[in-house]
Amino acid sequence: MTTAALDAAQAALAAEHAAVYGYGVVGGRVGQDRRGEATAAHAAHRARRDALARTVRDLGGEPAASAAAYALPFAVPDAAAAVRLAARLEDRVAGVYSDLVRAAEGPLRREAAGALREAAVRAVRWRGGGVAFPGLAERA
Amino acid sequence: MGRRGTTRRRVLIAAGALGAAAPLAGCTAGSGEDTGPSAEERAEDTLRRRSAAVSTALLSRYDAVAAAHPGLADRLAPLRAEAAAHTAALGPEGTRPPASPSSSPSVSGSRAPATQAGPSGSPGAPVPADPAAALKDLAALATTTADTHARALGAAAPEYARLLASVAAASAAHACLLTAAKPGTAS
Repeated sequence: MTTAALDAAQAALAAEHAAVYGYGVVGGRVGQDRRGEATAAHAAHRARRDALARTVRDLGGEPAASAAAYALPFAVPDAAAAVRLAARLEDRVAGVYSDLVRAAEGPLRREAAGALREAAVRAVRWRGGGVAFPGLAERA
Repeated sequence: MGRRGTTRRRVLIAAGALGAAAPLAGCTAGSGEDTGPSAEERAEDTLRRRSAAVSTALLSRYDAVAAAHPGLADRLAPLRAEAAAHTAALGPEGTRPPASPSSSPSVSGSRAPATQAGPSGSPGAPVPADPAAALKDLAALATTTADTHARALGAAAPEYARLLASVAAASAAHACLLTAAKPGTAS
């Protein structure tokens, strides 16, 4: 259980690193009307990243470091693409948190479920619509 | 090892089965019988039925609101479809993790849960006459649904906990979509 939880927490941490990087890009391109939302999401992901680093340490691991840069899933030349990127970032984060829910127990499981919920809510805000099973790629 | 102490032996066998199947944290439901599904399977069936009923209550509410406010039906349709998918996935007949070694498929031929069994919210209350109020009411029930699933996942088997977390997240997203100002809706 602990090894699986540690692996899942590391994967979630890596995804949060990528999300923090990605929201840096989103913030630079998103329209003025949605800049506040991007800033809030950026801060939320930084907080989750830091919490996960602590979790990984608590589980006896060495927190995964962030990469210097991340490949974006598509070019982000304008505000519309920035919104699409933000939604995509939330989808990815939701996926790793659903795995963490499965691998963890107790408070860590609840925390992961809370993070999944926040990611799903942010995703529908960006996109204006949702998916039936956020974080479950096999049901997408 | 002798063949005495059947009670203890059964407990050990049950513990072995527990180790092989998905361990269920906090499973303290009494287990007197020695035939039929294991305590863990019964506990998961109970949780599945209860969780499906929670989402079924939201599904029924979507139908009630759409019936009372035909103008909202188009907007509600995709969310209603998601709620129907949740109900199907959560129930006893819903998909289970592929590797479930010791589950006997024929034992629990349980039917779909009763339509309204929502623990809170007001699934049976009349739909508000004002469309905006009806949406707000629906959003509140979606939030309650999300909270109920979130509370339940702590004691669930790993794969079912993952499903509950996803459905809780989707229900919370519903609440967000139901209360978001939509350009198309005049109110």
